[in-house]
Amino acid sequence: MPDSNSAESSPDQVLDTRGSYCPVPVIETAKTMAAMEMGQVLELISDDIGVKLDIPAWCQGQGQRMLTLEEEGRSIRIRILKTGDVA
Amino acid sequence: MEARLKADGSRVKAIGLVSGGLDSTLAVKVIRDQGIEVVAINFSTGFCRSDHHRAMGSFGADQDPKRLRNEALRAGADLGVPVRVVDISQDYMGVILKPKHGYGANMNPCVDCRAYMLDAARVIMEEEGADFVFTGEVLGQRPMSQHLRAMKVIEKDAGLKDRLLRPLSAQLLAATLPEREGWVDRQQLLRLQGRTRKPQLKLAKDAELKDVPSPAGGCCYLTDEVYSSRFHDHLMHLEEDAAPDAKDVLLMKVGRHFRMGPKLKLVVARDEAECNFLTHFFPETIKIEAMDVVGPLAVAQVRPGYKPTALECETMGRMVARYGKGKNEAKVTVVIRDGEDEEVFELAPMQEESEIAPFRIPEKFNPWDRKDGSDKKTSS
Repeated sequence: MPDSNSAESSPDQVLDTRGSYCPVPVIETAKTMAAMEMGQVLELISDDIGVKLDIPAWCQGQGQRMLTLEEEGRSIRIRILKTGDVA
Repeated sequence: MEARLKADGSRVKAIGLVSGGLDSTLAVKVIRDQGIEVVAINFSTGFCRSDHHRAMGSFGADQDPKRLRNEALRAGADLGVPVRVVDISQDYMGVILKPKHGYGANMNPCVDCRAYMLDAARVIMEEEGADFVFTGEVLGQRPMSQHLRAMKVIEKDAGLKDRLLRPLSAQLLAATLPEREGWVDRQQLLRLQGRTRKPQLKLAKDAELKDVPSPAGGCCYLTDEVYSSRFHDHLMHLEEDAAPDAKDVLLMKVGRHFRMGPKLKLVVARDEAECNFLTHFFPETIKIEAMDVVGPLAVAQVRPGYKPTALECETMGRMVARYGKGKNEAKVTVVIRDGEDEEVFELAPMQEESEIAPFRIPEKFNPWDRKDGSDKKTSS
């Protein structure tokens, strides 16, 4: 397993959905994660406050591992480790 | 939980339509509990109230988490089932504008909508190599789309005949292919019917599904009278063969709406969150607001190429001034911005409701006024 699952290292991919609201961030996260390799980390940046609830729920249902969720002003940064296929 | 297998040894797989409400959550549970692999699909039509509440939360409105979350995703998390959110808003407009089976009391084409979603689910079923599709429909629960005849029409239109299972009412319906083949144990399916939700609430309690939203119905804006009236007004003033786009659909969700002329509509924000919403989603649209006094932002939506007349600008300015803190002033400075152009007016805020009333888009919707003149009204 690469060490990219630590919160400090850079993510393998960054998805910036700022300016887009539900359901775009979840749909784009799923699409991006589906194309990534197992063990890689995605960083989602969003200003949709719904992602604070939806991305953890999406990860739980999809069997992905959410690593961190941080807020900086209006931006929310969420890191997800790909631990399974995206359904 | 033991995986449920078919005769060839492969695991039974099903596609579930999930809103995250009580019924669809229970339907997923009933199927999942049989060891069937479930992929839950949550369709986004662009007309979902909860999506709008969530967007408004990001612009400063009510931030109650229960109003911000996507319930389908919450249901998937609770049940350990993957949820795929699918955006169907673009093609869905065709269904709304020409519903084969007519509308309900407002602009809601429930039967066609259901058939459209199930058809999309059938495509996913085929792509995924799944065995059947299921929904949380309950026989006799909704007047338009969940009586037996409508349910049959829907499954025929969706091309799903025999592969569409309604786990909550299955024992009251003819056995479907998945039941006959033994992919699903019919004995473990339910026999719910009618409008009462008491049995579902008890099942949810027994299953310790504590956080399922209480049944509210009507998440769809098209079942809303005010929204339907705005939507219909918009259709009546579109160019021939044009259809509302995503921005039009959004704009109808906020503000006070005034029909200024065949090619011009004014939308005045009602609070700060709506002002932020208009600023964010309508950067290119003509903006009107009072200067020097606190007041709402308004946008003037025009048909392509149309420029409001001086009289229209003045009338809109007077209306916008009325909704701000300067409403009792003799004159208010109002600015109208159209891209780089900016015009400033000194205007007397409109005082009398009788002056404004003729412009208001009615908040009551009369289905008999519908554009297509359709008297099809399939709800009972």
